Amino acid sequence: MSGFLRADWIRFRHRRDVLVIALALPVLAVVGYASGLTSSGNQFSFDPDFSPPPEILAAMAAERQRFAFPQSVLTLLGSTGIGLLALVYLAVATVGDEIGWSTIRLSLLASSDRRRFLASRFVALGVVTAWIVGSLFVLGVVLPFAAKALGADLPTAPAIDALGTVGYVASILLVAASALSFGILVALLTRSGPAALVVAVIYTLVEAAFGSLPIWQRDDLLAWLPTLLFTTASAALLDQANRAAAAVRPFEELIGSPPPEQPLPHVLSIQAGMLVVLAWGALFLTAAFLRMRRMDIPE
Amino acid sequence: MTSDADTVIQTTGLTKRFGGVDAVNGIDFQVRHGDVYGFLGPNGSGKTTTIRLLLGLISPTRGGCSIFGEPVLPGAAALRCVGALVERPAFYPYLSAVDNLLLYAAARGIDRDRATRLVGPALERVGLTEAARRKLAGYSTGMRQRLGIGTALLDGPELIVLDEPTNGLDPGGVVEVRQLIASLAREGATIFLSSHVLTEVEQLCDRVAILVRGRIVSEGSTRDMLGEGERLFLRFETGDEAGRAATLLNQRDIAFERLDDAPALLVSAPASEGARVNRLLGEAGLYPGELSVRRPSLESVFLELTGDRAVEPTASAPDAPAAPATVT
Repeated sequence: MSGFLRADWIRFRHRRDVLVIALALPVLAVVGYASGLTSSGNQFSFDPDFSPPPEILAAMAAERQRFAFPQSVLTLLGSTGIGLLALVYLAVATVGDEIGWSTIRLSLLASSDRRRFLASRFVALGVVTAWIVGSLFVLGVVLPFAAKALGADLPTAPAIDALGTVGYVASILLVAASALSFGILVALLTRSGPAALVVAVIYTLVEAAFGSLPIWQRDDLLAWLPTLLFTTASAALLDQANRAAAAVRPFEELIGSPPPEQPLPHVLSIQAGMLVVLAWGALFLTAAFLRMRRMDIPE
Repeated sequence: MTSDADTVIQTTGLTKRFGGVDAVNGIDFQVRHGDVYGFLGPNGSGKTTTIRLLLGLISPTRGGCSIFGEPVLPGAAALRCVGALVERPAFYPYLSAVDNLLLYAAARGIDRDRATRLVGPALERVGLTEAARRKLAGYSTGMRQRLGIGTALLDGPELIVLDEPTNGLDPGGVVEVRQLIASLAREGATIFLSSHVLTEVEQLCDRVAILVRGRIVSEGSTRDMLGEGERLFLRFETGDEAGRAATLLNQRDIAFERLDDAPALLVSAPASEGARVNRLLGEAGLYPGELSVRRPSLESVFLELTGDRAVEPTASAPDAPAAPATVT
């Protein structure tokens, strides 16, 4: 597979969209951090004689702590949402364009091993994912110190949960891998990059509409079903894993008031969420390999 | 059909159906080592579909094919020994010719050093050295075609499959590519050449199959195929001599055609019969002023087989000007 990987390296390092996404996401993250840090102390404007209520002060302190090390690592990693969308775009574009431009023929004439071709593309996109996640992680470590050096007033942040952080990074990579598999499958099914993008967006909207049907609320067991859908489970997993890593105390605890009595929301645990997303990813990838193995290349 | 170590391509009942149409319908042929095999057919006859089947790009509906004795399936090791140009060559528009070839070489498993060594000569061979660093988006159709040929030949594959290689080339380019194919053939490469340019196949190929609506209607050596339509042209001094010769041939049950506009006959006999016919006439005191062989072109054979009107050879306008062979 090293030959295909070398070929993908030539393809990717000259593709403008790959370069733009790989470089723009970290830059956007820096801009987002700076903007968030600047505005985090200014969102409440008070009369100097007015003493804000304790819950507002607690919220302001908690908000500013998000930008201090080590919570900043999770804050930066939390900006992977747009990165996941970008990854789906890359998967769809890099596979769809191969078919749209007929260049898949060039690759398969060079070597007809379709499994390796697809596996190599998956790995190459995985490397881009690792670069994005890795750069966000590094920025999460570096930026608070850079901000302090530039004179920013950062509070001391509570420690993050080491195991939870590992779980969070694993969750991001798992969701990214599943999103890549989804993008590759849709591109192979539609045989076109632009068409695949449209189908991916439609799928997401249909899933959201399907998950919000009133029928799911009629029964406690049925209410769990929407949580098993791909994008719902992925979003819930990232949110749950982020909270676990941040070791954030409930807001009610911060302001010292008892939590109100509320019905338990239907949210999968982190472990169950990982299993569900893994299952979706495996399903998408298996379907993509089967499709690739059997599809005719008349392009 | 039997296969042996000398067989490079073999198909058995190869069929591909798209929707309700058989693009390729139960074709059988064999290409042997060192052959320059012409695959001739009108547009839409199934040539490119056959090539895609041979290269594992599409799967047969029925039947199968093998390359170097190995069934063609995605990932078949034998396909690594094949260099191919299929229809319009496709390249990455944002890469230069050099990078496209390096990418192809990498996917083919050729190491970086060897690939770098191969790319320069490959581009030089197809006349693209000066445009080597230009992005493909700016290439003309002919330049892409040349690069496609360069790609197919990059690492000296044992089997070269060329689908309409002179498409989009200017006349000079056509001649160059034909010379290139001829030189590859002299070097001993096995070449499978699909074309609808009859003169190209006639000039280059030693074996040929004619495909019509997905079926092979004729297959064999080019020489035999053209030889089947060979005729002897006999021109006499007077109409009386021609008439006596006609009587003699009638007596010997030798088919011929008398030409209206000249004291001449067209005898339905191959070149190898020329001496016998000449002796027969000589014994009767008839000595033709000209005895030559009129060969049909592949074009006339092709048109006859594909159901169109054949171009008949005539004494005044022979259709094979390149191949008159005088045997007296």
